[in-house]
Amino acid sequence: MIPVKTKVKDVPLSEIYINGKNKNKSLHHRIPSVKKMQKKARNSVFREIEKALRDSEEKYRTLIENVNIGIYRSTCYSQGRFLHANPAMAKMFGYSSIEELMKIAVIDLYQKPEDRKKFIKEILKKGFVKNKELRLRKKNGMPIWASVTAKVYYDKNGTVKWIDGAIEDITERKKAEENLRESEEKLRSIFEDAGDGIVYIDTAGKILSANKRSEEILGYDIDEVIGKNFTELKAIDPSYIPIFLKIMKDAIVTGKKLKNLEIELIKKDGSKVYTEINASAVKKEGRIIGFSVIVRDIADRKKTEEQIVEYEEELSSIFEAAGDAIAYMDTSGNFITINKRAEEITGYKIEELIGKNFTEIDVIDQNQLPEILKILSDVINTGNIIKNFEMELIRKDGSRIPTEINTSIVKKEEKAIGIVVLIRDITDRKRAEETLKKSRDELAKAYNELKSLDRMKDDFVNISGHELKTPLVPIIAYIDLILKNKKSKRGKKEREELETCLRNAIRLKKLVTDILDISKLETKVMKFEMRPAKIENIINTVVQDLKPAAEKKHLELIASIKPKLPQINIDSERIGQALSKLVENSIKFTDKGNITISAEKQKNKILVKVSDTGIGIDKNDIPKLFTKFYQADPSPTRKAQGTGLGLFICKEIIEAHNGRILVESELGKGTTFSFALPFKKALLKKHHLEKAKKIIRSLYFEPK
Amino acid sequence: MTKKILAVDDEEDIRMVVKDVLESSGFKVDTAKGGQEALKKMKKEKFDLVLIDFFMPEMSGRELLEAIKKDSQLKKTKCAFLTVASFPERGIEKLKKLGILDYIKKPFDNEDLINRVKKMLDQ
Repeated sequence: MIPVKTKVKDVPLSEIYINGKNKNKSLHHRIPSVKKMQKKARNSVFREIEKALRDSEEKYRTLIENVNIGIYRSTCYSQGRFLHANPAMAKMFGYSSIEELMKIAVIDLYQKPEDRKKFIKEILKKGFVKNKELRLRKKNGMPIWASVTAKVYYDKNGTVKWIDGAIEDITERKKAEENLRESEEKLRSIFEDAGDGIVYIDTAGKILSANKRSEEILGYDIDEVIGKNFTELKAIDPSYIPIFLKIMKDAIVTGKKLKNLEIELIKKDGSKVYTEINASAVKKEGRIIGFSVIVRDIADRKKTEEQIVEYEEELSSIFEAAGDAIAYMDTSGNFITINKRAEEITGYKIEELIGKNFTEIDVIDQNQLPEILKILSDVINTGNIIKNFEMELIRKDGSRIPTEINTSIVKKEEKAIGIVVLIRDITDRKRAEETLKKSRDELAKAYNELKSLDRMKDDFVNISGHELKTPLVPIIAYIDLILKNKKSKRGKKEREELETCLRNAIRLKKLVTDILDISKLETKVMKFEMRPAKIENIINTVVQDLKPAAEKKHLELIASIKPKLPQINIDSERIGQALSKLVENSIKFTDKGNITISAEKQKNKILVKVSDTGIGIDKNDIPKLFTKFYQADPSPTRKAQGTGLGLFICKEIIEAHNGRILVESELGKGTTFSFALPFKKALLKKHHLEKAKKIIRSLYFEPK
Repeated sequence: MTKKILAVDDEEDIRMVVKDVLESSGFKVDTAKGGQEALKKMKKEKFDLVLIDFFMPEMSGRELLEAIKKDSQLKKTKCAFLTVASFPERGIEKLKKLGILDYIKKPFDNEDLINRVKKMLDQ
């Protein structure tokens, strides 16, 4: 029994609905009043009626209580109250009992309160609703789609009494509909966005639909092809059409699909496109009603395929033409393929090798086999390659051949599936190596001999240098002594002859001295002693030494030194020597005027100049000046006699001080030699040493 | 008084030419063909200047110089090298520290030799 809650304000008493049991009771109440009027004898008749009524009521109740459709009676206010509901109704909305459902307002079942308002409005307007779909919610808030059929009941005054309704849970159906829509949507987007052209034709070949991609592939607008028969389009070479029609005809009968047909189609603009066509029948109720045709643009693939074919051809020609033997083995060492060159190198025929394991053929020395097997398994396991591995192979005839092996692994999906082995015949190289080694040994021997010879030469220069000078000592001194002997009476001719002797003896002395200097550049060049020195002192010494020689030619030798010059780091003796040679040179080539030695600061250097008023040097001769044995006047009767080594030695000395000799000259006016010496430590550069050594060698000895 | 010079050289021709050149300028010159002979002569007779060759067999010029400088009787004798050897500056300085007054290169210019000898004798 459901107690009627009078507390609920929006439910007027007049609307209180009495359920089955209450109704039963009300009937029961009414019966005594009838009894009052009827005789007891008629009681049994009533009992019969009552029973019949009860039975009918029972049937109705059972029906209501057991159907899966929610049946309810509710008020028609916007909040709403259930006046009655069946168990299916409570269950549908997740309520544990009818009583629980009766406690809530009808609006509580709506997801959106405004839907309730719309519903009331609609039902009041029409008096009923039929299969009205509503978005409702369960007790736990879960949404539920419901279909409602309801009718409004009025009292005799036309006032709304209640709504009776039946409600069905259509959530599943809705979901199915939703899914259907989604999958339709998906299919549509697949159709539209497909990378392949999709064309749908009926069994007669009429185009029913086509997607965007097919438009792109063939160049036709969708609109212009829909409704046309595919045979009308010029996309297919007319000679193919009968074939297509036959395929279709067969397909209608057999249901067979068209698979991967490669065909060249013609685009609207007349150009051709390689395509791959797949088609399958579309059935409706077991009957074929059309075909879906998928057109794939395979131009790129075709190109790649062509390239692969080309590439394979190239590879195979390389394979056959290779100067190296190439063998391809599986990872167990069975020959899969080998090239022609392998035949030549091993002496085996290709047929004798293919399919065999390399260990079956005695190509590898038994003693070396374990090592080779280990290397190969390393190659397979680690993917490392063998590079330039030298080993001897045994040819079929038993002879041995030196080879160089290179391998690489062929992988498929990261797994080694084979080994490419390149075998190079290195017989010639080995022979060349041996020859090379032999000649290298010979060379080393020769080199050592030369080296000791070289040392001997150095010693020779050092020792014989002194020996060369010694005989000159009495020659020069005695001729001079004789010439100066005033007591002796001698003719002009005799005197001139003696002077010639002296001049040439002195020349020989200079030559010997210069040659020894150059030899020192080689043997003692390390002993350039760089020490702080005053250029002033060096110049003054040179002036002092050479003044007599200048005066002999009535030339003025002037030193023009700027005061307070900083010290420079040099080998004073060598710089003095170089400067002397420049001044001597000037004296030699000057007949009138003067020779000036000047020194001045120039940035962080001291610039030393030797200027003369001599004959000058032809511009073309300047580059030759510093070469060894260069003589300004090559005539055999030249007046000026020198060794031709002076300026060369000079240049070497200056360059060893990181300096450079410059020459300015004008024919008939004079020459200026200049060089700059840095203040700071002048490093003797190693390449200067090397250069000096090389020069000296080439001076004295035959080129090696 | 005539200055007495001793020329020490293993080469006879050089001994002769040095003697002749210097004597032409009025010096008295004696010669010795090696260190031992020179020392012997120096102990017998006092010389104003000794000109020493550097490269000599048996006793080198340097060894002779050292022997002279070690000898209390001889150490004050003026000495100079007269040699074909050429040394770097520093080498010459070192030799000068050993007690030589000059270092004359052979082959020499007669006039230059005479001037240098005079200069040394005047010191």
